[in-house]
Amino acid sequence: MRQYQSEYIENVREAAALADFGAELDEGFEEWYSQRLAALKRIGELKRRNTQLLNECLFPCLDALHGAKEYELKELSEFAESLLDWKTNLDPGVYTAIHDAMLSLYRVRGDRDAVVRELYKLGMGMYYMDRYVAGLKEDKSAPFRFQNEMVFTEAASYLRCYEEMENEETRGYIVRSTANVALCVRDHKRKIAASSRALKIIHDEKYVSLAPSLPWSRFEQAAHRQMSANRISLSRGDLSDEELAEVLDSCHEVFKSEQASANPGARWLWPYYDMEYSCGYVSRECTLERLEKLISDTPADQYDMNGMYGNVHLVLIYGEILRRHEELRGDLKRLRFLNAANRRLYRTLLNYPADRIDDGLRHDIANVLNNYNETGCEISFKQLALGLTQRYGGELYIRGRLKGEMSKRLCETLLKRDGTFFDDIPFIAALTGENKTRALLNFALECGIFCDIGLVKMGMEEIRTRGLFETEHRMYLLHPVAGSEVLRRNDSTLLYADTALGHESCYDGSEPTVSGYERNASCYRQMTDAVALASFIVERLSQCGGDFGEVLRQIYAAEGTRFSPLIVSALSDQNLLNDLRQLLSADRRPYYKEVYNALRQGEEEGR
Amino acid sequence: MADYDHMSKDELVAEIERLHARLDEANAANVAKEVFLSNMSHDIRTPMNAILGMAALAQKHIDEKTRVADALGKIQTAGRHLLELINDVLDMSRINSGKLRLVSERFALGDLIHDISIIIKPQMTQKGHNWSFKAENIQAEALLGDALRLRQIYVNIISNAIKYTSAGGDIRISLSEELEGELCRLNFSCVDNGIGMSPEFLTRVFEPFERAQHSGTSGIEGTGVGMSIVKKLVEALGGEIGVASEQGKGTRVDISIPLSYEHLELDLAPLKGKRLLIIENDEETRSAYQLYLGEYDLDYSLVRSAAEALSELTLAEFENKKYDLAVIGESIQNSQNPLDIAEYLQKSRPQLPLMLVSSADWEKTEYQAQRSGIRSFVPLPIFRKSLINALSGVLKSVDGGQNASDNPDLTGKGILLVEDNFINREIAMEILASTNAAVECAENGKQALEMFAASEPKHYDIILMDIQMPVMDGYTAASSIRALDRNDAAAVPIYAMTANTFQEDIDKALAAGMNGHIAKPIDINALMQVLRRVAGA
Repeated sequence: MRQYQSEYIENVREAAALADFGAELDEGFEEWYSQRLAALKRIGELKRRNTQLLNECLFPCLDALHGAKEYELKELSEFAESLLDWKTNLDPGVYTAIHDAMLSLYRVRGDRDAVVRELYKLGMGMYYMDRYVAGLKEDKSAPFRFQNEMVFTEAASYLRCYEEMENEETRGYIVRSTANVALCVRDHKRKIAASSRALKIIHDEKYVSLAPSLPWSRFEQAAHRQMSANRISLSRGDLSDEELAEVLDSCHEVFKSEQASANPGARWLWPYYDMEYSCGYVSRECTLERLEKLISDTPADQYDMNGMYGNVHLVLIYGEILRRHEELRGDLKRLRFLNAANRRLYRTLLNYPADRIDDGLRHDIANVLNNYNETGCEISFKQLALGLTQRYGGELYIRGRLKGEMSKRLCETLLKRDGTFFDDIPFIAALTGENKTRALLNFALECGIFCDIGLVKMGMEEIRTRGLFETEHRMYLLHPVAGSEVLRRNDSTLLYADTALGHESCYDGSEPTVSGYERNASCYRQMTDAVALASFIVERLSQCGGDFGEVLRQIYAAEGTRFSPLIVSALSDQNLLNDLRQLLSADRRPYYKEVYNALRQGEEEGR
Repeated sequence: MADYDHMSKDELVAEIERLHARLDEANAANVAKEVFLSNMSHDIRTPMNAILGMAALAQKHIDEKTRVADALGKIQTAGRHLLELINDVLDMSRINSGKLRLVSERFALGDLIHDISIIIKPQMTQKGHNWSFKAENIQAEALLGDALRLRQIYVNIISNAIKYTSAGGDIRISLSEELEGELCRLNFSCVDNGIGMSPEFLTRVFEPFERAQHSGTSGIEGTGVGMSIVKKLVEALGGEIGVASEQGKGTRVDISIPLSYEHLELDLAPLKGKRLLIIENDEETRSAYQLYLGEYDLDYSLVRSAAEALSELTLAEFENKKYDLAVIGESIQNSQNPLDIAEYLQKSRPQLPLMLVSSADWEKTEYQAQRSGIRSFVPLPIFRKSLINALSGVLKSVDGGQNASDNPDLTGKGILLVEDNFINREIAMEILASTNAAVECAENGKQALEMFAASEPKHYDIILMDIQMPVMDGYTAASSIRALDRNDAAAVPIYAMTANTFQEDIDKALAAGMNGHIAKPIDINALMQVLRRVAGA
C-alpha cells in the first residue's frame, strides 16, 4: 500500500476514535473537556490533511488511470478494500469512487471479467452508502437504491454469458450480484423473486459444475438468510403459494443450521419464531413470551452481533408489536417488560465500548431512532434521542445547543416586538405573560437542539475526515426529512418535527428547498424561520470560518429568499446582535458540561 | 300578426296550440335563464369570495412574503376560473349571433392529443382516476382544421367526465379514424363510470344553462353552457355528437368530425440495419410498437423492465450485435422511473442514444431528461409516423455528416485541450481526432490562458480543462479566461476534466465559470456526449 493510503486510513481511524464523546469520562470534567477541545482541533487537521491526500495523491492517480501499471491498480484495489471491510467500513465513499473509476477504465478496455468484478464491488460500495438514506420514505431514497440495483442487475445480466465467462471468480461475482439485487429493492414480492432467482441458480448443477471452487454452501446459506428476512411480509396475505413456500423453507433452513450450532443466536432463532407467528402457528402471546425470553437471555453487556440483536433489535420488535396492537397498550405486564427492555436498550447504546464502535452500531442507532416505542416508558424518545446525540454526535449536539440559544434570543426579541408573533403555535397562544415567554424560549432551545437529529440517524456526521462526494451531498440534503420522520414517530418529539423538516428550506420555497415542507401550512413556521437563521449562522461559521459580519451580509443578501424578512428584521436590534456575537465567541464549556454529566450519569446507571 | 278573424275553427285551434307551445318554450327559456342567473351568481360569487378573502388575508400578512405569495397564487387561480366563466358565456353569445370564425391550419394530431393530455392529467391525477387515452392505428397524422376548437371540444368533454366521475373512477378516452378519400373522419369517444344522467336530463343535455347537478349543492362548478357550446362547435365543424348515459352508471360521448389530411413522408433510411431496444410494459403501447415497427420490418426488441434491458444490452455486446438506440417508455415494470433508467444507461453506455416516450409535459421534463441523457422525446399516445421519424431523426443525428461512427462531426470546430499528463493528452488527442475538430493543446492553465487570449475571436468552440496542473490550475485558468475583455470569453464552453468529485470541487468548478465536468479516467463516450452537445449548438 502507498504511504498516502496508509496515512489516510490511519487518519480516518483516529478521527473516528476522537469523535467519541464517551471516551475518557473517568478523568474528570476538566481533563475530558480539554481533550474534547484538542480532539475537535485535531479532527479539523485530519480533515484538511485527508482532503489534501485525496486531492494530491488519489485523484491524480484516478485522473491518470489509463496509464496506470497493473501493480498500481492492485494497490488501489487494496486501498479500497481496507476502506470497506464489512465491519468498520471506514469510508464507503472513497471505496465507491475508486471502483467507479476502475469500472470506467475496464469498460474502455473491454475487459469483461474486470467489468463484472468492478460492478459487484461498486454495488457493494453503493449499498453501504445507501444505508445513509435507509428507512427514509420511498420517494426520497428510491433513486439511490435504484442506481445500486442497476449496478448489481448489470453484473447479474452476465448470467446469460455464464458459460463464456471462463473465470470462476467472475462467475462467483455474477451469482452474488444476482442475490444482491434483493438488497436494493423494497417491494417484498420483488425481494422474494430476487432471492428465489439466486437460490435457483445456486441449486442448479449447470452453474455449480462450471465453478466448483466457489463456496456454494456459503452462498446458499446467505441466500436463505436473505429470503428468510421476507417473513415480515407473510402477514400481508398477498403472497402466492410458491412465494409462501419459499420464505417458509428458507426460515426453516436458517433455523436448522442454527440449531446445529452449540449456541444458537437470537439473530437466527427469531426469524423462525417470527415466521411461526406470522403464519398463525403460534399465538401472539406465545410469540411475545418467546421474545421476552430471547431478550432476557441476552446478557446486558454482550456487544457482539447477537448481543446487540437481543438487547436492541428484538426490543424494538417487541415495542412495535405493542404499538401495532391497541389492545396491548393496557397490558401492564407487557408494558413493564417493554419499559425494562427499553431501559436496557438505552444503557447498552450509551455504554457501548468505544473500541468496538463499527458500522453495525451505526445501523443499530438508525434502527432505534426509527423504531423506538416510548409508550408507557420511563425513557421517552426525547431523552433517548438526546442521549444518542450526545454520545455519538457530540459536536452536533454542541452546535445544536448553540443554535438553540441563538434561536432563543431571536424569539425573545421578536416576542417583545409583537406579543402575538408566535400565536399560530397553539400551545404558545394558549399561554400568557411569563409562562408564554418561558415556554416559547424553551421550545426554541429544543428546536435548535433537535433540528439536525437526521444526521445522527443517517450516520452522516461520521464523514468528518474529508469533503462530501456529489452523491453523499445529495444524501446529506435529505437530513431534514430523516430528522422530521424520526421526530414525528413519538409524542415526546412530535413538536420539533416541522422545524427539523423546514430548517434548511428557503423561505420563498425556491431551491434548494426540502420537498415536503409547506411553510404556510405549518403553524411552527415562524419558529422554523428563526431556527433556520440560527442554524445558518452556526454552520457557516463552523464550516467555512469567516466572521459574523460576513455571515450577516450573506443573510441580508438572502432576505426574503432564503430567510424570512420578519426574522431578519429582528437583526436590526443592536442588543440582539450583541447577544448573538457574544454567544458565538463565548466558551462552550457549559454545553460540554451538560454532555459530560449526561454521559456520566448513563455510565453510572449502567454499572 | 295572424289574421284571427278569417281563420277557421281548426286553424284557430292549431294556432292556439302553437301559441301555447311558444309560451311554454318562452317560459322554459325564462326558467333556464333564471336558473342560469342563479348559477352564475353563485359561480361568480365563489371565485369573487376567494379573491376578496385572499386579498384581505394578504393585506393582513403584508410583511410575510410567502403568505402574500400564497394568497396571490390563489387569487390568480380564482381569477382564471372567473375568466373561464366569462369566456364560456361570451362563446355562447358569439355562436348564437353567428359570429364564430373557424380557421383551417395544418396541425399534428399527436401534438394536439399530447396538449390535451397535459391539460387533463393534473385533474385526473388529483382525483385519482384510472384513465387511458388511446389512439387506434391512426394513419392521418397531419391534419388540416381548427385545432384550437378541436381542443376546446375534447377538453370540455373530458373535463365533464372528470367533474362527474367520483375519485378513483374510470375514464377511457379513445381516438380512431375512418379514411374517406381525401377526408379523414376523426372519431373521439370518452367513456366514464361517473354519476351519469337521467333519461329526462339527457334530452336537455345540449340546452344552454343546464347542468346535471346544481353547483350550489353538488360543489361541481360550471356555467352549464359547455355542452351547448360543444354541440354548436361540432356542428360548425361539420361533425356529429352523440351522448349515451345511465344514471349511476356513467356516460359515453362520441364525436365524429371530418377533416382534411396530408400524407406524411416517412424517413426510413437511417433505420436500415439498426437495432432498437424498447423498454415498455403497457400492453397497448407494446402492441402499437409491434404494429408500427413490424410494418416496416425494423429490427427491435421489446422488454418490460430495466433489468431485462440491461440483460439484452449485455448479451448484445457480448455477441457483438450492439443496439443503436434505446427507447424508454412511460410504463416500466416495477414502476421504475424512466429518467432513473436513462441516468444509469447514460452512465454505463454513453454511446447508446436514448429516446423518451411519455405523456409528461416535455417543457417541464426537458431539463432533467436531457441531464439524464435523453436525446429525443415522443409524446404518448404514439403515432406511427411521428415515432418512425423521431427514431430516424435521432439515428441521423448520431450518424450525422461524413462520420459513420457514433462520434460527432466537429469539422470546422476548434478545441483547446488543457492537460499536463502526457498519456491523458495522447488518449484525448486520439479520441478527438475522430471528430475532425482542430485540436490544440496546452500543458497548463497559464499556457491555455495565453493561447485563448492570443486567438482570433470564436477560434475555440470548447475548452477541455484539467484541474490539477503545474504553474496554473484549471480553476484559475477558467476564471481568468472568463475575466478576459472579449466577447467570446464569457460564452466559450469550458468543461473540467477531473476525477475530483467532491461536491465542493464541482461547486468550485462552476464558481470558476466552467459549464460542467467530465469524470476521469477519460471515458470516450462521456467525452463524446459533451462534444455532441457542442456540435448541436
